[in-house]
Amino acid sequence: MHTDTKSTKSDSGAWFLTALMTGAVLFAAIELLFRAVLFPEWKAVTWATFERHPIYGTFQKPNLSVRRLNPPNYDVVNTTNSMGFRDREVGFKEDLNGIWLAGMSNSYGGFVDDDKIFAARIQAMGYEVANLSSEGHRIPNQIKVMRHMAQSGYHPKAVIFELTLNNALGEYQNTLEEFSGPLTNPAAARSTSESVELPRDRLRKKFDGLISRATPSLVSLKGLALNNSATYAWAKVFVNASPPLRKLTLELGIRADVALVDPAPPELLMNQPETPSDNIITSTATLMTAIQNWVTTNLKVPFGVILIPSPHHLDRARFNRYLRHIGQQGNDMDATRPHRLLLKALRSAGIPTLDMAPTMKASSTPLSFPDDGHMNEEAHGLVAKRLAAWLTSQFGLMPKK
Amino acid sequence: MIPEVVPISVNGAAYLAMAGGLVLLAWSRWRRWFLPALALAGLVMAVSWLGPADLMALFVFLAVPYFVAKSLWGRGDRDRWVGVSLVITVQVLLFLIIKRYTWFDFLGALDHPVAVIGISYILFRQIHLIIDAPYNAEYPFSLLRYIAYALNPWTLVAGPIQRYQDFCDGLSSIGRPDNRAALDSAHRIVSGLIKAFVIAPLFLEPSAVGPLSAANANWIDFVIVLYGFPIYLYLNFSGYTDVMIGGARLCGVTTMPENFNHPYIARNVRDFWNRWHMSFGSWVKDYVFTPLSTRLLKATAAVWHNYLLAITVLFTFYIVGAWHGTTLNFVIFGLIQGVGVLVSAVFDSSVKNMLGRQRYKIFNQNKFIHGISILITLHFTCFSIMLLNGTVAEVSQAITAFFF
Repeated sequence: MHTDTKSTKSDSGAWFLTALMTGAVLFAAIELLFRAVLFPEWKAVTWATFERHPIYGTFQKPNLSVRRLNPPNYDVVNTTNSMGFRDREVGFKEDLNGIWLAGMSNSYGGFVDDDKIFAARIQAMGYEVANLSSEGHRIPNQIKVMRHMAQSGYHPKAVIFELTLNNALGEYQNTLEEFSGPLTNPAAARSTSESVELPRDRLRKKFDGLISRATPSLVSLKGLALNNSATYAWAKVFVNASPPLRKLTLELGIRADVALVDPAPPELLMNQPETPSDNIITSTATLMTAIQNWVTTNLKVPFGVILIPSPHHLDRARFNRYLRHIGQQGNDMDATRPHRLLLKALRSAGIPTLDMAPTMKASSTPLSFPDDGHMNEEAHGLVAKRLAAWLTSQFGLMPKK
Repeated sequence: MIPEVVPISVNGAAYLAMAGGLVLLAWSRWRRWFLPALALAGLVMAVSWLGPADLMALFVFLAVPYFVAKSLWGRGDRDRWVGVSLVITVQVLLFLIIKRYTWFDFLGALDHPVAVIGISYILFRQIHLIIDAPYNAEYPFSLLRYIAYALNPWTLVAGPIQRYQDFCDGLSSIGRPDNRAALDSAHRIVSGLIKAFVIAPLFLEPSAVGPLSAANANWIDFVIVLYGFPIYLYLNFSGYTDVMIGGARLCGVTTMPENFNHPYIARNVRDFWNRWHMSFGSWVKDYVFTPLSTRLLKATAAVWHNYLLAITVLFTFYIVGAWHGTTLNFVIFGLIQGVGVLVSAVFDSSVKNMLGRQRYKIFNQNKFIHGISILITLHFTCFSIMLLNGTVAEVSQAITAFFF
């Protein structure tokens, strides 16, 4: 009896070990199958397009050619030239003596094909445009890019700055120093030999990293899975590409709803003549005025702003979801308010501003991605068309014949 | 290269599939196919790391030793000295060229220099195989066994250096270990992965020697660098070895040699090399030190023997240093270790002469003396290991800044 029990225990232990080993091998084999055969686009989901630039901060890697994939949002190729800009290689230095287009993620257009971003479209129309924008940049980074280009001896015919609401808004009082401070980014310089990180700091950072990895959040776990598993990335893409599954995951709360995010304080949207948060509108307009002064004084060329409305401004359904999320009523809040106020402030400061809101509001097709607030290909087309006409009417800039 | 799967590293899905597949095969009724599967796994692992030019180099590197070993296999009576020496010399030259030593770089001018993963370990196995071939009559030898042995996925990238006899003995015991042994092996694999890929990397970047020259570096930084890299080396290498030995044991192979035995509690430098990378230490002893010293001692008068032994020790450790890396600092590291071995031997001998055998034994058993010996050896090791983690200029600059 005793022997039988022992034998049964041993058998079940052996069975368990075999099952465990088979499971591990199957798991690895499935992962390999996805990487090599079923979903070789995995790397396109886990793209790594940035590196540290000594002046610009985080910036695109030079000579990039990466596929970026996130259905139904995008499946595109991003190419950068040898200087890291999303622009052509041959002729770029001549473009740097044409129109400078500064801006953030919407000008960079990382989720739209190379030839479909509005800078490329304008260029195709015959304008000499240098696209200085960067996906992760804020206004201060772009000031450094422009200063660096000016210092390198390039001289534009005009400078156009793209501002997309509401994430362009911010408290920029300290940023005014960007016009006079050193060009080298102290954080980036730390990684060079000029300023060395000490062993104790490195060790502390490593242990901090280990502790944070030991207590991960759901978002960081999802990021870890995305970066390490083609199977998970495939499942994520599959769910995103299927409308019923997208709806279901959204309802279950396991997928983030982009409509629930607005980088501006909610009170900025309140239907009131003034709110305490209005200072970020004033601050943004002040910074743009400072840029205009720098451009007209140092470069002695005209300056203008393209103002792109927020996804909430353009899409009432999205805005309503946001309102429900923050527990507000529709009548009390106005998604267009930040746009109206900034437009007014910019124009009051004498900054020529191309307001894209009327054109984009009139569009019958969606102008941003379903799970992402960035402009899609149609939106880039609209901006290019309006901008080309505006460059001629406002600044007298004509395309090259 | 295989797209999206390469290179196969121990902490990746491809290795799990491959090593786990071997385990399941060893546990199944189809275990007679284990040897071809092992050879195939080794080939796949090598190919995953190599481009076409590298593969050509690997092919050339593998071919000649196979034919030489085949022709010598079990023929102990053959006069083979000249042929074996020639083949080993050619293999070492090929190794130097492929490894691209800074002082022997023939491929630097080419656009696509080759880089063969695990070539140092393949060379060790080949030299052992060729020298021992005449005396290995009782062990089978075939092309399949040669490929499986030379490219064994458990030992391809970083050892341990398994002898062919142990390899064959291991193959004959392929099968399912009992549950206890299987769980012990799995435990060893998991703890090895944690050591090598979770804890060890914490110490790598902080232990770079260069930052010690910064004006604001202090003694805390020095201590981190001094102890950090030895900790990293031990955890990384012994963790990797644990994964390999654990994987082999899950397949029933218990003949993989151990590589570490608490090296940082060694009481002198000789003891350290008996505890650190043990399979390498015994290989160097068997195929460099012993043959060389034996021949030299036989050929010379007794009055020269101590000097010749010292020179042989230094030469052996020169080989040890040069094997560890392709630049000058690795050679200096080896020579410092050689000097350490000689000093500890001279010290032991002097103390023994001074105290007599009985009192020397008591002296050695004294706990205080033992503790001091460990501390001295540990710090000698840590200081010399600094040379493996920085250039000679960086290390001398750091030492000067802190001690002079």
